Amino acid sequence: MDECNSVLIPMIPGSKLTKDVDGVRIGKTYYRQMVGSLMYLSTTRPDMMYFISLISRFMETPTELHQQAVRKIFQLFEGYN
Amino acid sequence: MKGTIDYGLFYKKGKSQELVDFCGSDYTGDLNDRRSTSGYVFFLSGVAISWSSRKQHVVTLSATKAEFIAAASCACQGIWLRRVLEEVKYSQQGPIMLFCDNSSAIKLSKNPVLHGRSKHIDTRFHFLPDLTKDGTVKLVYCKSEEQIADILTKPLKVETFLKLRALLGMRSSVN
Repeated sequence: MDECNSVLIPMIPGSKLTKDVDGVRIGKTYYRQMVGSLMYLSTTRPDMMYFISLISRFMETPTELHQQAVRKIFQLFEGYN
Repeated sequence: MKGTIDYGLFYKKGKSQELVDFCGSDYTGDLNDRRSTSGYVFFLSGVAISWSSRKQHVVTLSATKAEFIAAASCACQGIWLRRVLEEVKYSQQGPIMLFCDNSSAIKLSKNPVLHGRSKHIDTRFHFLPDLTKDGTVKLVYCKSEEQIADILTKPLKVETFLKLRALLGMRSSVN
């Protein structure tokens, strides 16, 4: 993630994240670890609170769509142009 | 442009200010079960000290009701925060100012009339009109553009997001 492009906002305005029942599943543990690390950050980052609460709703059956959403959040923290 | 890993809340020493509160909701934010998201944020001296963003546990039938529930949960937190502040000798005067961008939710809190659109609202949420009546909480209207709690309830446009982030009291620790 060190060499990713940076983003200003992690989600397109007005877009919704759904359960994505037919999506390609990804490892639960990996996803949960990512969400966990972001939750830790949320204690000093109220601006990320909504996105973190959103991605944590899909911890039961995470798919590639959800992973992309998490990646965007990481991109907001890190990354350069 | 770089990432924002160095951003954080910056608490400044200065004149004491009142506890201010913004609460908001996003009606039917979740496409799977149509529940709304409610969010609130408390400010002390212009910097966020307490915030929450969570999906509501009931399905609401109108944006007013979603907002009403958000305001009720936020009032609970406000009362608790006041007691904590009192404990540390920082007691607040007057009612808790609760900024809300839905005027019909404000009206409903002042005058809980039961008509077709609101008669199903559970008693538990009528906690709020009670508090408004005895002057503990005061709901004040604020424009949607100035509603800081929006950042906790929906994905926003870049400009709005950056503006509200600054209003939360967040800044880079580097410069």
